[in-house]
Amino acid sequence: MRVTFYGVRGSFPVAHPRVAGVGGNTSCVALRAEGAPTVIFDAGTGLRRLSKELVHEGFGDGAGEAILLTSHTHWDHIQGFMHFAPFYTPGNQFTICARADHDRRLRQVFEGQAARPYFGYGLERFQSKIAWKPVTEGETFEVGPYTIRTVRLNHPGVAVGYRVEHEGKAFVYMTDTAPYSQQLLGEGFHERKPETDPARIALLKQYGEELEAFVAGADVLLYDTFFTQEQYEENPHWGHSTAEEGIRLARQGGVERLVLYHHHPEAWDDVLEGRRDEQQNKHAGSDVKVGLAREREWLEL
Amino acid sequence: MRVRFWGVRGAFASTQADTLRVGGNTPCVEVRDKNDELVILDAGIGLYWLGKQLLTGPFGRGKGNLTLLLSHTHWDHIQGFPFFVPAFIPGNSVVVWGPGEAELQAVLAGQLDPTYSPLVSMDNFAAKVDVNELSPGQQLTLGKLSVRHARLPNGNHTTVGYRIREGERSIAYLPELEHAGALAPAALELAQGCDVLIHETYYSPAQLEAGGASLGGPSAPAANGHSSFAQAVDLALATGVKRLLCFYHHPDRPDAEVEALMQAERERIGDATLEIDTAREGAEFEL
Repeated sequence: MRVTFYGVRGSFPVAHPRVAGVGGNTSCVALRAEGAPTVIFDAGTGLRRLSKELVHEGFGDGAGEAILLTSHTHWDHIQGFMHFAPFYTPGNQFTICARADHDRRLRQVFEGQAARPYFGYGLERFQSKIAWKPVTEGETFEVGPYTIRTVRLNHPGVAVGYRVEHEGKAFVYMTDTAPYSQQLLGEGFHERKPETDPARIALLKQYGEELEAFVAGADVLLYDTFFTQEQYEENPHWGHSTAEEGIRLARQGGVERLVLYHHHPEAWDDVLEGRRDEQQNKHAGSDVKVGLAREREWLEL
Repeated sequence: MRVRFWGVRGAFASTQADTLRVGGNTPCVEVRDKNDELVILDAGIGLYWLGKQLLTGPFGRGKGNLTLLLSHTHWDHIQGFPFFVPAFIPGNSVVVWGPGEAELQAVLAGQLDPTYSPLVSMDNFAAKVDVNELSPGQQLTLGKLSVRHARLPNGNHTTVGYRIREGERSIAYLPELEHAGALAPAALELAQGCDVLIHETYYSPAQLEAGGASLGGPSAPAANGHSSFAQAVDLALATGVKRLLCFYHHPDRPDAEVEALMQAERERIGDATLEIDTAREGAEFEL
């Protein structure tokens, strides 16, 4: 299977010449496998670029089938949603997965960002067939030929990590998440407040172990490396991680390849390339290969 | 009056390298009077970069005051607000004015809802943020700047256009509007005789003719409620404007195409005295 990057940036799209190499669109990644539906991870602004390719892959004629796995519904992960042309073509079929919201149906969550007063029209314009699938962290389900596993991520409002297995290969999509080390993030608004309560420290440890088990043996781990170590120490409550933590997870789990993802808006091209090289050199003796997610590039698994 | 552009792209940020000379951020314009009083027009992604710049002055010390004028609350005009760093510094003050039909405070808070944002609520801005709704005909005096506004047609809803005057000089800001059939009367009135007209040019004349181009691809609905380069020029000519700055460019419009469309307009108007240019991010002018 092939994994292609369409949006690799976090927070908001960055229109700046110093990120033009790595790319400025927000989160969107596609996984394609022979004779199987396309799997799309997140619907950031990169989705619009993907949209332009998919219209030539059956979705322009209403013969497309895709699964959209959203890590969470913070704005930078859904802002391409209404701009996705295949939704407006009759015949296309989608399964849209997102973490179950407490009191709202999934369709309402996506509807809430569309139509008045935020957009010109709503989901009633969609012509394709959509199945809404709320997911709960920890569950495993099958869609088409894929086995999809989920895990709880450490982010305000909680995000979901996905592991997609197909024909003996495993790809892990893991953003947005802080390491399960200093602060446990969940519902409500978070300020910087490292945990001191033993019960919460125990929970951090438990979730951290679940995460380690989740990535074990994967071929590729695409991981939130929004922060430098220093930035993370200042902002453990933001729900983002570092390349160092990615390496630790990958090594611990025997992951073949770690890919740095969900870049900070002001992580310029040369800085990101330097960070990738630094990690690669530091771990030259280990089995983990380190890569950098760049728009329009792909990996074969 | 000084005016600087931080976001000039319409609907959706464009990050492609061939759009960055004009600029890819969604709408945000900085206006200053001669005493440096700060008024910001719209809160698209450009607001993030303006916010960073402001930190080097009083806003970095919690001593900044500004007024934000919103044309409307579609995402591309408010999506920079949660990333405006001065709003997280205690002591700063942000006074927001915008259209009132949908309870502006609730609409702005809606984008911070925990489903969509880690900010959760407007209460988590450390600065003082005051949200006000414009009443019809209301005029504002902000430092030396006199501001009036009008409702403009925009597809199935309306936007607010602004005219800002300092002394004898004035600009008109018409970031999104539709001239359905004839030039919109409210736009004619607002732009009449101003020195600089900032007018949306989302469509090429051919795209408008074809019923509009969609944002998402061939099968997506055409975005309606927008103007073409030719309509912006026609409005400028009809109101005796000296200088037109094209604004709110389509996200797929490369720099070279913006230049070509403006050149076609210059040729079309022949000897008429109108300077046609585009708003460019980072560019500044003084009146």
